[in-house]
Amino acid sequence: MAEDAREQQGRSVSRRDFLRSSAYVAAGAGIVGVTGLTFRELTVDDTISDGIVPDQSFAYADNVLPAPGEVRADVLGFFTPDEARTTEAFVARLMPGTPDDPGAREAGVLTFIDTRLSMTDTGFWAATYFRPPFAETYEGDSPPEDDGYRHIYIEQSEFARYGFQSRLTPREAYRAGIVALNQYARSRFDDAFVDLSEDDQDAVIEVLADEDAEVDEFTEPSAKAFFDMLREDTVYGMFADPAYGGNRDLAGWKLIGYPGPQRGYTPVDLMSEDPPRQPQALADLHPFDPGVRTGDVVLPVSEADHRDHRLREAGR
Amino acid sequence: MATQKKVDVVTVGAGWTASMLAWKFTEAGMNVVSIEQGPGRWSNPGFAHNHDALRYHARHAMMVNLRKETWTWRPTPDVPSLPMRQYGSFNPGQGLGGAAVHWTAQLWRFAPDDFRVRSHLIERYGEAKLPEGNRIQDWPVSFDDLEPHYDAFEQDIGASGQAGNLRGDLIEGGNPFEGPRSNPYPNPPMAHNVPAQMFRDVTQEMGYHPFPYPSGIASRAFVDRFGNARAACIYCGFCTRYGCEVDAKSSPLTTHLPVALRTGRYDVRTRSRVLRVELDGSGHATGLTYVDEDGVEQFQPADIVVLSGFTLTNVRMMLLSRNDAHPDGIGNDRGLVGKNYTYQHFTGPWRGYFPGRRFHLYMGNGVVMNAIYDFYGDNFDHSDLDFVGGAQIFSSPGERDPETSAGNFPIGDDAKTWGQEWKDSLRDQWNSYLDINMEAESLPYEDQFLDLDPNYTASDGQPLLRLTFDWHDNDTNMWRFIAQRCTEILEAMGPEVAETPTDLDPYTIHAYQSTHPTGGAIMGTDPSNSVTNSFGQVWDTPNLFVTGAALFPQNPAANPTGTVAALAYRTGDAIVQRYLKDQRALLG
Repeated sequence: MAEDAREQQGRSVSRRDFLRSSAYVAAGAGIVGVTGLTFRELTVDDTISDGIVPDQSFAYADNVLPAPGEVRADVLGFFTPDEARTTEAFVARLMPGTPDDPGAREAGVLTFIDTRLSMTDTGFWAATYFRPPFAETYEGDSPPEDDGYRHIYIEQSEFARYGFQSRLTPREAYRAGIVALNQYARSRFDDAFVDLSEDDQDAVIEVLADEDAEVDEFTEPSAKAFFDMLREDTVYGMFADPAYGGNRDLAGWKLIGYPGPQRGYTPVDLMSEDPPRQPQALADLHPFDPGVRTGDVVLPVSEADHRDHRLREAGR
Repeated sequence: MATQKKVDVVTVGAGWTASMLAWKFTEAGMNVVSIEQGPGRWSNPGFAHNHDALRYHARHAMMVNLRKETWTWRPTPDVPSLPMRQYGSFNPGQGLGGAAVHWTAQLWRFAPDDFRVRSHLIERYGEAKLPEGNRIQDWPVSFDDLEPHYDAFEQDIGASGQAGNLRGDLIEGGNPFEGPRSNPYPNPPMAHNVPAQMFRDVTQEMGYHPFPYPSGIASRAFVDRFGNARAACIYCGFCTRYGCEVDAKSSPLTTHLPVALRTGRYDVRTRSRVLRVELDGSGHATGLTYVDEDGVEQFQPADIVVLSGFTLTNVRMMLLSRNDAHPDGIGNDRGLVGKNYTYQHFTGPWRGYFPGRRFHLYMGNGVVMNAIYDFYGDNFDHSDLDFVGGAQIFSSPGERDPETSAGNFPIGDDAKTWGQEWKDSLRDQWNSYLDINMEAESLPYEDQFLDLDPNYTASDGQPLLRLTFDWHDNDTNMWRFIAQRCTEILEAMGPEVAETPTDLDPYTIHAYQSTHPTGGAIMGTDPSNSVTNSFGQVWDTPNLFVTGAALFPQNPAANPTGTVAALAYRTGDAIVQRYLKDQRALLG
């Protein structure tokens, strides 16, 4: 096989050029490349037909990296100052830290969450089917009687099996959840969450984290849904690439011994139990170079030319 | 609506089976068009700098846009369905090459018994052994029918693995339970990680037969027979849900698409969504209606129409396409479209913490494991067991990024999931744990099926597809038995802390399990038991072909891609060699 590969090496060049040609394809599709990172412009994704039934038009970020300059630790993009302090206090209890042993506060999880929520006017950043009807829940043997309106009733204990079913956008869920959190903190300890002692804050979180607990102050999001949302964002804010605003100084990756994105490993690396490599961020990963020249251009798909979908070969 | 120039073949999507057929058809001089909902893309520079786990792994950058279309689910026919609003259970891809660009590349052949599982179980245990309400049936093809096509596909993509049965001779170190293969894998097995070695040691000690996980990733560089240069895997750790920047992971982009495109007889229309198959008064397919990237409705006429999208896409298209000749949808004259919907068990895992060890699971890919087939299918005696079927059991995959794994700590059943305890567990355990995993089969039942949802629509205004699916007693009992085996293997490795689930949780659409939904347009021996013949040719619409896992009567405990490819190779050959001579006749 190895000899065959050497013999046939010459034939591979046109294939590689074929792939290199897609640089032009990407540019034509409105995807902007900046030093190897690509991100889509933040627009309503309406490139595919919604012409038959108008879709609800709201902006959402379709798996984007924040643009350079969009991450600002010194400016709030979505939260009010009170909301920001509350959120930061909450995530700092989920992942506590000190200057020597960074946690959520030190790693910039608040910046991560605020950036995420400020990138669109909903806070959605993954494609979400957000059409009604939204389900309602009931407890007991049978759903409420027909009232002439269309409802979809799901038995409460089964509801979690259906995954995300909220009628709130992430922005709304944060805003409403923080209000409920403070109401509950006041009802129990007579103060806003951010002003409680760490022990009292933990006592509040303990209840929210318990899926069986009923907390009257929370309707939507539920107390558990609010806890889960903040915990998930704490994971991402601690451990996603620092380009997203969190994981400051790679604090999350250093905590767990993760070297961040590397170009590759060898079979020897796989069997080694040596300490991990020094961590690096995506921006520090050297660009991938397939080591072939550009030249022949083959543009087989429609981004090449919106009016001409045919295969075209040039310079061959 | 504009009408395009008629071609020989039009396909739904430009995924792998469409690419295989486009290669075979264009080579035979036919003209082929594919209608692909996602964008065009190639490995370089498209995947050159994609090591961003939040974007690709956690946020599903390469998947079908759920805002346009999703699937609804309910556990049983007597309760309402709700849409899967964000990604969970499975991950259909979009874009040139389809899901085969982001796949894990676990590459299997099904076992000989899998193709005649009903007959086999009845012969060995009697009909009473089959679960109540089941729709288990034999395939209309045998392992021997498919073997040449399995082999051709493995050779074409440069599959990596260790043969266990070469033309009837058992080979040490391979899978002794596999069917006889006519050739070894063209490339040697992938490298292993440390947990794979530990798994191998303890399972051998226990009398089982561990072997390297077979893979569609190249373990060494080569040039394939089409002239595509393929690099060896660089074990980068960004594999499942990513495109491969070095073309080590086999995909349509590395194999069949460039070949078909170079003929000049293949045209892919990207960012274009198929609405339905058009039909004439005689009930034959006339082409596909789609909406192009500018929002303009188009009709692409063709002599042959191929439903080569994702399993659930193909079934939905059959139900949405109807006229007086097929009032309930194409292929559905006998009400069988949507039946035999099955899935797989990919739940668990069994996790162990080994203080002081460093397993580096962030390296590598989803095939750096060892596996055992000792509890697969009927490889073990079920006489005294309360279930039929089984599972493969395998060691820890790599490609473990913190974004999607840090939430799963601490290891331990009652551990606190936040605060200092969570943080300390991540510090101590994240690079010092391994897991044992199962992939178990799924059987068809009367109350497990696909149909159109009455309440929810896609952005095209047409109903979403509805899944009615839940685990049955056979699943619960099988899972409990396999779980005990997984626990024994883990405990034999000697972890300080072990997490060992004992019972199967209810099915949920929320958690990712596998992108292996199967059935819904199954193949069979005659029209009374199936939607298509063994070539995927629809019984009641013979110029319409279905490819992919919708054809599976039930789902064995192995990944579907190898069988999906072998079936497509076989269908492509049959169309070129026989169907074209007598179009619209059923292939025998």
